[in-house]
Amino acid sequence: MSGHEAVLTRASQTLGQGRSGERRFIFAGLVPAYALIAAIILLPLGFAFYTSWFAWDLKTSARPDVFIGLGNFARVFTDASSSQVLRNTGILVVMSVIATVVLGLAAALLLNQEFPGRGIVRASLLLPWAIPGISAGTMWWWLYSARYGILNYVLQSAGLIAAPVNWLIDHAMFSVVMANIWKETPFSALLFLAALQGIPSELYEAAMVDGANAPQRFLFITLPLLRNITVVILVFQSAASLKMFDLIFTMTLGGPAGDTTTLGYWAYVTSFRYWNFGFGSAIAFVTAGLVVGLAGIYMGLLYRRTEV
Amino acid sequence: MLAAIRAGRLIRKGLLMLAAALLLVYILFPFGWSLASSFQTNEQLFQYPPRLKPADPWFTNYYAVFMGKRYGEEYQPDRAFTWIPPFVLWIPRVMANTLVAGFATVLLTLGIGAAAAYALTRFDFRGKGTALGGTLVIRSVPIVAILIPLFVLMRVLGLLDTLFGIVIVLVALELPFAIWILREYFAAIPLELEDAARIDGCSRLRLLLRIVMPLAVPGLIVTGIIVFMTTWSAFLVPLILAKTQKSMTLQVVAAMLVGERDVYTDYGLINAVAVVSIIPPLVLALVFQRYIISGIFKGAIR
Repeated sequence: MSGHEAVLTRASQTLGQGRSGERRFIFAGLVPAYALIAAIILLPLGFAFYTSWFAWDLKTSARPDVFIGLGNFARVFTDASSSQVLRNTGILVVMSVIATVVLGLAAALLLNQEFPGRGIVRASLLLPWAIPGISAGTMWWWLYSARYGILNYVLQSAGLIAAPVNWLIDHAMFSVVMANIWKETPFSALLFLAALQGIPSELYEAAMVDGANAPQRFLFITLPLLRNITVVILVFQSAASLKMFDLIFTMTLGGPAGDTTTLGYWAYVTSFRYWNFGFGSAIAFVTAGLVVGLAGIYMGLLYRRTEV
Repeated sequence: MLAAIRAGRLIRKGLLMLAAALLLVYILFPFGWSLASSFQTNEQLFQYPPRLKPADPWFTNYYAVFMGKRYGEEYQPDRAFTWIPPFVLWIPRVMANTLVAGFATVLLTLGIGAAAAYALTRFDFRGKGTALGGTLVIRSVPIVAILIPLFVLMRVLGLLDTLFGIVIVLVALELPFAIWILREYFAAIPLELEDAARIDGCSRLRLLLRIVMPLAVPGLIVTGIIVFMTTWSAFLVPLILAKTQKSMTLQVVAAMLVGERDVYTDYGLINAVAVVSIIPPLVLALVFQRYIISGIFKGAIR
């Protein structure tokens, strides 16, 4: 791309208009977008960062005035709820990422085969990804309902459980994770599938000529060629679970007793239920830091391994 | 021998189809159960074992959603539950809000985003790398991180509880994604075409509007659809910025309805609202699936 661009840049310099016209054009193109991004995202981000150094409780003060340094950030890890929240977040992220990658790859491998009805399954894969998180949360909340839920009925009829299970009370985090996996796996599957279809079939044919069996072809051709897309999926899914909010909001409201409160939900509750803006901002920044940090680690792994 | 091979192939195909059927059930089951429940009343949903048979009439919950009153209420004044949560009465207005916000966000995002994406694709200038890298990082910032200042900012600007305020915020949030995807499509347009037009004395603006944009239509469609779906699903931003039905969106009302657990939970009604809010993205996903998949892939990869 840079080669092409350089050619055009040179061409446009020699052609008519010259540099100042081009400058004005670039300027006019970029300013609206980046001004808006600066005003709506960067400015608030800066303000949130500033806020996070203050003990700002909206109930007692209209503006941040008590500077407490890193106090709020320290509290993210030392608060009475910290260990529970961090554990919940860890469970959500790790389980969701592993499950979406493994299940997503399995689904993609399946849909990469020829069989009647493949198109229907592939089209339906888009649906959980496409619907609003609030709707998905509502659907799963209703599915899990202890008294009227279909899940308990099915499991009981199959003899897998003896009595109805109170899913969203006794196994709340597990239930939220399962709903999240349902919503997020199709996205991974679609990306894996697109990557699989990009692998030239000559590679497999050559390997077959050399006598490689199916597991060998999978291990030595498919998996290595899926490395880049796997990193992309890891980045996306970690970020998605760290940011996940709608499902918790509809299914459990972070409860019972904080059992499903993750960092993202904690930041929301702290700010908008307890109006503690300083601490809420600090939690949000730790979450943002984790998103960017995890992306950095995955990217780092990818590039180091590519160079070797 | 040949028969054995053929049988093997059949078994293989059968196993594949079995696995695919299981996957399909897993994906569709929650949809199906919600849909079936949306046609029933609480009395029927509380029966054991669960039933699939719709209530009579089957549209009773949808009637409540769209008409703002219970079906047949006027003939049965002593019916036990004719109460409808007040915010359900907002739904027609709120759906219109969501659609208007969706279209406005798409148009603004495409217009502003395309201009920026074109500048970033076709020109070299100082700070370009920073602009691009910045765009990528901004995409990964969780919305929670900027909610508080956004709330303060919108209050200062007097844009709290306005659709305009919500649209502006959503546009800013969608721009990084739109710029990123549109760049891919602009980069794929052959340079020779643009050079030829330039030599013929076509101005930059005309070139962009007459030649580049028409060629980028597939990219604009993909971006527009994905942005619309994201906007339709947006929850946190309207939750914080909207206060009344003036600017509230469907997702906020749907979530409030589920949150009303302790008063009287009308499960049929809740499922009907969920189904209604699923339909637009569902239809878009099914109609434009190829576009969307290629869009996701392009957006995710680079």
